[in-house]
Amino acid sequence: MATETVLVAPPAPELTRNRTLVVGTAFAAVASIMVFAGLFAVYIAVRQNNEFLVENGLGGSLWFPEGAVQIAPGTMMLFTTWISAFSISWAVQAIRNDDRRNAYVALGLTLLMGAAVINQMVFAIIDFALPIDRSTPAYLLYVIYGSYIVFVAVAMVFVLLMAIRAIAGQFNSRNADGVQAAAIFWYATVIVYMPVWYLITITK
Amino acid sequence: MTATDTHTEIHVDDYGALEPASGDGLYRLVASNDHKMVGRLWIGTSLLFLLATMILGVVANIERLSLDEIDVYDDVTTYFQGWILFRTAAIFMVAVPLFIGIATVITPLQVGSASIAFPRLAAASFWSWFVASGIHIASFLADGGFGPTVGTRSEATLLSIVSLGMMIVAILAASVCIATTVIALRPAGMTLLRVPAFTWSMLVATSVWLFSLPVLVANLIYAYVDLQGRTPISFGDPDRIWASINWAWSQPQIYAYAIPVLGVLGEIVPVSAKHRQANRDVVLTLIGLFGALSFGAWAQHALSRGADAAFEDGNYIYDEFLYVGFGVVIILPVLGVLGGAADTLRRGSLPKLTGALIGALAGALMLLGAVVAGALRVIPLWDALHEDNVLLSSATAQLTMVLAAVIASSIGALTYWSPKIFGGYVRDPLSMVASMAILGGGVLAGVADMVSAFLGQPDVSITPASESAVETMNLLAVMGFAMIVVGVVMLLGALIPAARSDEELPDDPWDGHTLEWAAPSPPPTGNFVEPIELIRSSEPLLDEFEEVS
Repeated sequence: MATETVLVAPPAPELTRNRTLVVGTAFAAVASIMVFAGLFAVYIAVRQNNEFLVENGLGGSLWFPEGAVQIAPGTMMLFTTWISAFSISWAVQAIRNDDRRNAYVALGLTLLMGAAVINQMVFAIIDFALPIDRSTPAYLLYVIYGSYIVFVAVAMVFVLLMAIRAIAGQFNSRNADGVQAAAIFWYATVIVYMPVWYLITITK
Repeated sequence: MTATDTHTEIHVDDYGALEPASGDGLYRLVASNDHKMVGRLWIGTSLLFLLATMILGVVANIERLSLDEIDVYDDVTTYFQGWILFRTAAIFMVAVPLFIGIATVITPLQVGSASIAFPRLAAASFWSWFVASGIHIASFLADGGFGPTVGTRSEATLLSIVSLGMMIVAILAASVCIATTVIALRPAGMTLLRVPAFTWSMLVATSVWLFSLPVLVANLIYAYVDLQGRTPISFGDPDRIWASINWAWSQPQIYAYAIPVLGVLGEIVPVSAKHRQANRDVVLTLIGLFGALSFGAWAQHALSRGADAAFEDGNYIYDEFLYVGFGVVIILPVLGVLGGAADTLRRGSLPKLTGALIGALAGALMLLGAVVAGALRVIPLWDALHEDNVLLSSATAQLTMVLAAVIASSIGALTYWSPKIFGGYVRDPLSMVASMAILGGGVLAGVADMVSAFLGQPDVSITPASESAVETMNLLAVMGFAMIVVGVVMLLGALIPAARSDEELPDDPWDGHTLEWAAPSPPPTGNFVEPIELIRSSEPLLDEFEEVS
């Protein structure tokens, strides 16, 4: 009886991709973070200037009125951004494992958290009740909060776009670039909020 | 799908680019996302803006000839508007876009890629910048601008702010495309230290722009919101808008726009000398160091402790150790790269003087002049000469020299890469004379502005110090600017025949060292006829030539 030889094809070579979307998004995320670095730097400098004037009796004023900035909404936003960081990581991991159902849930949850952050931001802005046209601190605060809302909205559009492409079947364990890129941009929003929370909610 | 998609309508390869399948000339111009077409659009438009900008510079300098009265402009406000428009245009409508255009064409070729990364985003960034530039000019014509004066219309000033922000965002988008191309689309074996010098310099430049220019956007956001629909209380004040953003036109940030000048030098000199660049890694490191030192977002007026009381407190940014140190140390990388070029010329065969070589050398020498002028600004000698705590205003001189460096270097680059960019040769005599005119004009105007600064002339003012010699210096500056205008006209005269040429060109007319010379001239859609093989050194074509010979 002849021995039957089974030919086994070698495994397919690993697909090499250039990951342009991931690299490009990383550059865009850095540029976005630098916008906020610029906003924070000016905020801190103006505040230092105010303290300098107060300490030397040259003028200046109380930075924010007592009770104007509440700690609870800002801290809730911080935790919300952390949850969204977890959910977007979950989405990346799920798409890498070809677990599409989990990926869709995680992407949806990320979008929900993004909407929650914007909602809380708007609530906080209304809650401040600081007139923007009368004090420099209030004007700086509103610029930072407003810019952050725009930043989160852009990130949500990016995640939504990638979610639609994922639902259309574009990403899988061999190519998760789109979701990874969206995650990088989303992490940037989470990173940026931490100094916002510290500068405005904590140090007031 | 949208700008994040790396694919386009005609599939060449995974990252291929592409001409529209049909349509007439104008449609192809607007709809194309082929990086060569987009790059040509950047180059052509920024050269036209260059001519207009230099004429604006001549007019502004003519106004300075007579310091007693306003002659050319209607009033001081209009003069300031012209002066500020000259500055915004010089950087964001000429210097940066010119290098972006050259890089958009050349960088994918140098890294052996069929296309630029995100070709649609690259095309969109050009058109966004183009529209924003038009709005920016219109906003100044509508009595906008940034001061430092009163009398401008706040609505038009808002438009100036928004359009400048749009220009910067478009430039950042183009920077993302170029930087991503260098990082992600290199062929196997081409490590980052093996990329050509120009591509390396563009990676450094776009990285610095991506880190620094968003901070300028932040300044603009503050100014815009403060000015929006009410009486400004802080950064939107007409007297403070320019003060809060002028760091982008001062040292060290002003050097960031000229980083590719060093890359052009590092590219053209070894090919001209027919010799490898010795200590190439050191030269690339020095270009990187120059880029790092040119990051200038920290050196802004608003970040001085007690910006309002800074002068009284004596804690102004220009007096700070870091600022002074950076201003002096940044000379070293420029000297190092120039030294490397001189060493290559010494080791290699005696190069033929070409428009490319002269342009590259002229650009680097002008950049050296700019950094030396910057160092003069911070030396204690100034304090010794002036005890009245008046700052040495060398920003005008530095802007002039950096602009001249960029133009001269661009002449070198456009002459060198003309077979790839235009599909024709830029004739040498004209480009050589153009380079020399720009070098001469840049030196004349730059030195005259520097002497004026030492005599006490502020940067954005027609009010002189007590020295009447300032008027003589301003006359020399006018002559220098006029020479630059003549050089630009000659450059355009040299480029137009090259762009219209239909002669057959060899792939590699200069015995080039790097991958772009393996592509046909001009490169077809997809750039390369044959696939790029494993890269084993920084000069793959020179390796091939040496193996054969």
